[in-house]
Amino acid sequence: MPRPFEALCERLLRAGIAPRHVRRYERELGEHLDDLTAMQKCRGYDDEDAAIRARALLGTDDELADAMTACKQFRSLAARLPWLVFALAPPVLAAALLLSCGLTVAGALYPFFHGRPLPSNLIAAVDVLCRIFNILAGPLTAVFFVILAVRQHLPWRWPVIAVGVVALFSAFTVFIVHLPSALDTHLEVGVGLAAYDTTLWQNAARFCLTAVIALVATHILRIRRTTV
Amino acid sequence: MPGQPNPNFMAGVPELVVLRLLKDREMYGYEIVQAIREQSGQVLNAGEGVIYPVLHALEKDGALKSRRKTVSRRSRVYYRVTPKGLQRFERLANSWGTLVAAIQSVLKGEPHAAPV
Repeated sequence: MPRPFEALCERLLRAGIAPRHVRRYERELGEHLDDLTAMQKCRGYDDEDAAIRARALLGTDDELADAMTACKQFRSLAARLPWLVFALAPPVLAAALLLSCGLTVAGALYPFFHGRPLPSNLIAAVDVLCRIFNILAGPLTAVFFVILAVRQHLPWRWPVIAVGVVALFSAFTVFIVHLPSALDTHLEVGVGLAAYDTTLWQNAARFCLTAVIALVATHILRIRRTTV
Repeated sequence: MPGQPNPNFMAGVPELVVLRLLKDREMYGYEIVQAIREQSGQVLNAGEGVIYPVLHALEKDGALKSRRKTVSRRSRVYYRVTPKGLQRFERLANSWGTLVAAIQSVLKGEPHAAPV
């Protein structure tokens, strides 16, 4: 069953109103409509007439949408500055995600580290974790921006730009954890350019992996949105 | 305010009315709309839902605070005016008073400035 203000919400999201403001508006309009309907029933109208009269009193979709879109402060950052959100923020977020992974690994290893080489099974586990982070950070970041764009009903060029930027970034960036060994007792965590450590084919493969995962997520979200 | 342009004579009126009503007690959206309708003698009578963007904008500016409260098994968002909102109300009320006086003066044909 369609929500009573579905078309209005769709219109507001397309106009760039932030989803949280749209949800709040929808909820309060629903409560107001319930009050109006109850009042019409008290005046003796049957359920159907009361509902029609209440909806008319609430205002047309044009009135309700215009009142909201006239308030510029309700526009989302993504609608106001899409280039900032979908072109500049993705690499920053991807880097932040990798760094936070690094700090998590460092924090987890700290209790085992006393300037001595770490146990071999722990080294193997960290190596696997690093590989997983390096593979997943890009796609996760790209999917985040896709979800952001889908929620706000933004034009498809923006998530595509974000996916492209993140794919490029993740193809040439690598997260490294240098564990203490017998020769070197330092524990180092860092994010750096992968160009020197990897071949062009590896970079291309990472670019494609990020792009494909993000585009598949986009496709799934699009299908869900059209079928729900 | 004197000397300031008034591109839209109705600008600020919804805020003024809402702040005046909430000055006395906290109210929820439906209650505010009914109060506006009654107290204006049905003159201020737009689509009722358009009150919410006004309330949300005032809250975003810090002029109102809201809280969800359940009364008689109905959960509603109640709004109340903040000290910042009271200051805003005073400013708007002064501004509106000046504007009304100016318009009345024009309608009565009273000259404000001496002819050159």
